[in-house]
Amino acid sequence: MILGLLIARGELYGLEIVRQSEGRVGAGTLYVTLNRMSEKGFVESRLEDAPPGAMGPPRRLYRATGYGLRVIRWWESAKRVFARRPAILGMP
Amino acid sequence: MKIIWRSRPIRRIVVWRRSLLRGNPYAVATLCGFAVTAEGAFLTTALVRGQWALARVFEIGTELLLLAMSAIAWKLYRLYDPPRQPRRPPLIRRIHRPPGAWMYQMAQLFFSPRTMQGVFDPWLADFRHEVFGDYHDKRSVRILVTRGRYTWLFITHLTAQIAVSVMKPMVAAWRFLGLS
Repeated sequence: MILGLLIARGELYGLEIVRQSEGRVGAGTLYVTLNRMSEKGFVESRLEDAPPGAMGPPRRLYRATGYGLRVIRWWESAKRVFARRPAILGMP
Repeated sequence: MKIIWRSRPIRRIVVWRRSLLRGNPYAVATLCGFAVTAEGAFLTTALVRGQWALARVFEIGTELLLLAMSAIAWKLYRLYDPPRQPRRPPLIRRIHRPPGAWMYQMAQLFFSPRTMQGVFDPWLADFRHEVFGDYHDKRSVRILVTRGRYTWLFITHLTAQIAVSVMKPMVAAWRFLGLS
């Protein structure tokens, strides 16, 4: 879900992901998930360039990596296969 | 003693105002439509009928009404007659801490530097941007809501983190002893 949003919208920061997910991603779990995805190499992050006069610490912008893109493509194709052949999963 | 129900609201308000001016503690009762036929008539009626609770409710109601009226009058006075001389700035200015500073300090006690950098720093940055945006738009209620929401998130996360920190060594010991 998060990876899909990052691929579709490009570079986003945490709050934008929460807003654009329309309630499907909670702010409570997002940052931990992003951190884990970053450790696994699905996403990469950088600190934003703060505009002059901006207040507060710089936000962290996240974007999907090439590896993340491949993973999500594989996941989509796997879902299609499993939907066509549920017997693979041991389902009748 | 009898309680008279007055149907006309204007008349009711006039009666209420008069009874309030006379120091009647049952002004709310009067406002609700019960006219006092003589001084303390309502009290007598209430006591005779054993309606102590009702009498107390009316007493407290009257006090609250008077308090609310005083507060409104004070607000109107300050609104339409502001002080002409500007107040002298205080000698010692209060230093405001940025929003979330106490959460950051608390988190430093429980989370590792790696977790702080990966999870807490972006979380705090987003929080501060949201709060500063609300300050810029002068949306005071929204500021409170945002701060409350993020504080609640922080408390739940911290509680979960503490629970995990306590459980981890216990589980490890359990496994080490071969009890699982």
